[in-house]
Amino acid sequence: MAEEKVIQTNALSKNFGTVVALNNLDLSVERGSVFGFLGPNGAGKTTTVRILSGLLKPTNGNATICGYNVHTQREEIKAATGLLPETPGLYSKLSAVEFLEFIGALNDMTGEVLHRRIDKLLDLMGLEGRQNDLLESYSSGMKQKVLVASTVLHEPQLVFLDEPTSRLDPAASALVKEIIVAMAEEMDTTFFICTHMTDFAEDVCEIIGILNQGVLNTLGAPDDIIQQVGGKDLEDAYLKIVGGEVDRSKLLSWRE
Amino acid sequence: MEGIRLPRKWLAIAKTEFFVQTSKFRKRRKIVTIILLAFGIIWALFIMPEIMASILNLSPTTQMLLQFTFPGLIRSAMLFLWVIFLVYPISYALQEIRIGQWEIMLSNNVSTRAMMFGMFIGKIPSYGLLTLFVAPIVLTPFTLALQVSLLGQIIMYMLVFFVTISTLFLSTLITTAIQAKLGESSRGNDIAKALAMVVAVIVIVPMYGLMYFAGAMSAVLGMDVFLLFPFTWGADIISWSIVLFNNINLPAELFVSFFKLTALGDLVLLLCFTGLIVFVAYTAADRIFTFGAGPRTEKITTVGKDNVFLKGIRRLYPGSFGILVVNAIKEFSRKMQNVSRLAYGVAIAVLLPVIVNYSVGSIPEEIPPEFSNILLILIVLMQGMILSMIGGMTFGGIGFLESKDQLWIIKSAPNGVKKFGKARIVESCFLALPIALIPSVACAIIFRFDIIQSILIIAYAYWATIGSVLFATGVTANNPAYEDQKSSAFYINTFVSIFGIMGIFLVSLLLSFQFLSFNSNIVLFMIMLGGPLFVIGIISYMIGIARMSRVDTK
Repeated sequence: MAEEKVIQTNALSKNFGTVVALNNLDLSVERGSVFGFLGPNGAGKTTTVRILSGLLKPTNGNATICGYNVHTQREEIKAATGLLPETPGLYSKLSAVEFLEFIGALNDMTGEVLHRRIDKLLDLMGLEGRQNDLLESYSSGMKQKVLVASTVLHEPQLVFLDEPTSRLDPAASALVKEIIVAMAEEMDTTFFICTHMTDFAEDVCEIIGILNQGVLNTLGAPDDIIQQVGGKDLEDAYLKIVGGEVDRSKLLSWRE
Repeated sequence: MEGIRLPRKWLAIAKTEFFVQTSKFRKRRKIVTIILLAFGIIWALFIMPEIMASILNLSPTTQMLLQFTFPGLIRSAMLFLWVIFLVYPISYALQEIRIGQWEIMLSNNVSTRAMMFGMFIGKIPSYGLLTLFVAPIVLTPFTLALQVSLLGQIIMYMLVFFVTISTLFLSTLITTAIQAKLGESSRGNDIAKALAMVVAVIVIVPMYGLMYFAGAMSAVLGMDVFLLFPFTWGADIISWSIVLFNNINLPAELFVSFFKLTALGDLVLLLCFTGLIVFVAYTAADRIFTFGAGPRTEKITTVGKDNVFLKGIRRLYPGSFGILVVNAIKEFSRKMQNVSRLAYGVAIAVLLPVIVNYSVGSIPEEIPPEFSNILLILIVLMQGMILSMIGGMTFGGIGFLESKDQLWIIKSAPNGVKKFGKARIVESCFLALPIALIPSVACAIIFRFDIIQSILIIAYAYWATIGSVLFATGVTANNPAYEDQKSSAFYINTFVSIFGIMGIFLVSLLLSFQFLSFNSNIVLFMIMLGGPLFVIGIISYMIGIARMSRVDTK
């Protein structure tokens, strides 16, 4: 079972006009694993997630997600996956319960099962006291928790998380980490996580891919990557791979 | 900030406001503006008179009728325009509080007066052009009937422009004061949107009183009560320009008893009123732009249990579809932006028969009754059209989707867009019922229609509203604008929806009247009138949803 490939891409590419967002991505992710997708802003991470979740058409190449083809079986892919988008698209005038009810209904869930899951998830996220408040009054971290709950609500086989902890405080971030690990270990759920947080990726992800300017240039376990480039930790290794050293002489040159 | 001097900061603000409004054609701003202005002048003075002349085909009776009733009709038209130009900019501006931009300006040492003046000047080109294109539609029938000279027409349109910008200044002042006190927060935004609705009611309720009690008030005051209102001064100056510049030798003495004031008197009053607003704005600017803190503090709204109506829908649609419909209703109706737009549309639709009733009442008795009957049919049709526009634009336009991120979430569910679209339409069908009912009932009461006629009017208003909701939803689904009212997608959708609905409506009207000439069945007439919009609406909706469901390519 552990050998089964949940994501399998073959020379997957995406161009927006003359801009190459993703270039010949060859990648495979095993069921029940936690895959971390790292890269600077504009590297093509979100584009990759949108293609893999059936929302965006690739320009070239092919991919199968949970055994379904991204070109021909998008609705099946959507039924088998969950997506946490980069920016929250919550309904400000619904409460957390109502929003989760809405997401459940979109995934054809209803009745007792749906409501029990909503209650349990909100309880787990520490939102039980605020569950009937409108989402407009939630902090960004609380909104993110609701979105995480909405992503796993229908128990998908594969979960795409785009920057899941960027708005979370350390405690909430730790909670999300635990949920990911528990779901991966106990339920064989696969996670594909786009993140800038190298410490988060180092803690949670078994395999990490680093994408730079649309090209996957590093792939491996966090320790292997650190060792490979001779970094102190993953952040150091990441900076060595994508570049990012600061030239102090230029810092105040704008005043001249 | 030492060394940086912007002596005319208001000009920079006005330019920025103008740049924002013309961002759609930013590469050719100047040339497009000049072309629009030139076309507007040609439109007002040459194209519109030609179009109207071919449509109206004025008979000597109608011509004579217009010659003697135009001062009253122009007062009604100007009252309507005044309400729209006063209420709409306030309602519109309150939809989007821009305190953030003010904070940037104030932190850059810009005076409050410069801000207000700049923001107002920046709006003039767009509202000026709007006036240039809209006013001729209302006024050309009079210029034709009274053969107003070219110079008279130019003076008339310049006066309309002046009345418009003075009204706009007043609305800018009111809006600014409200926005500053509410500040930028979701709670403040909500209150602003609620106020947008209240403003409409505040203006419209006294109008009702005015229409009904004008006679009694005039008797008590010993003067024409309409003379107390700025729109009357503006309307009467326009009427004076018709009296003075017509080519049929209309004797001015005939109208002196109606106008009560001379053209100069009206002009002085209007100038004084405008001067007073400008004076108040300038002296109060510092206080107006002081941000309030009260309602800015966040208030947490906790939702209660479902009401009987929502429970009924859940019972009607057990399962996931019922959940989608109920949540669509909750999400839509809790947004004051949506509620205020609908309330505004309903208020205007209710006001329309009142104004027309006043105009009909002022028509001399010797006028043939067919004229009144045609007016009544037209008023029902116009009411249906107003409801269609507002309903379509609110349910299908702005209220359809909040953001692209929301669309990603919906699309990430299997057949999510189809389920969502269907739930949205069912939600609109439920909520459109009172929207169609209230103005239709008001119309039926004002014109004393019998039960059968009233039911027909209600059915027609509802039928037309649902058709336009389907049409506008399809247009928006084809090209989602979300809640960004400054985006080009929003402008395109608004343009396509409004002109599409109007076009379909006019063609249906022509066909229906053709039908009426050989079959007088009024039910079939109403079905024919609303039918094409409904059918085209369904097609537009289906195409829109299919395109929205498609996988993105960019």
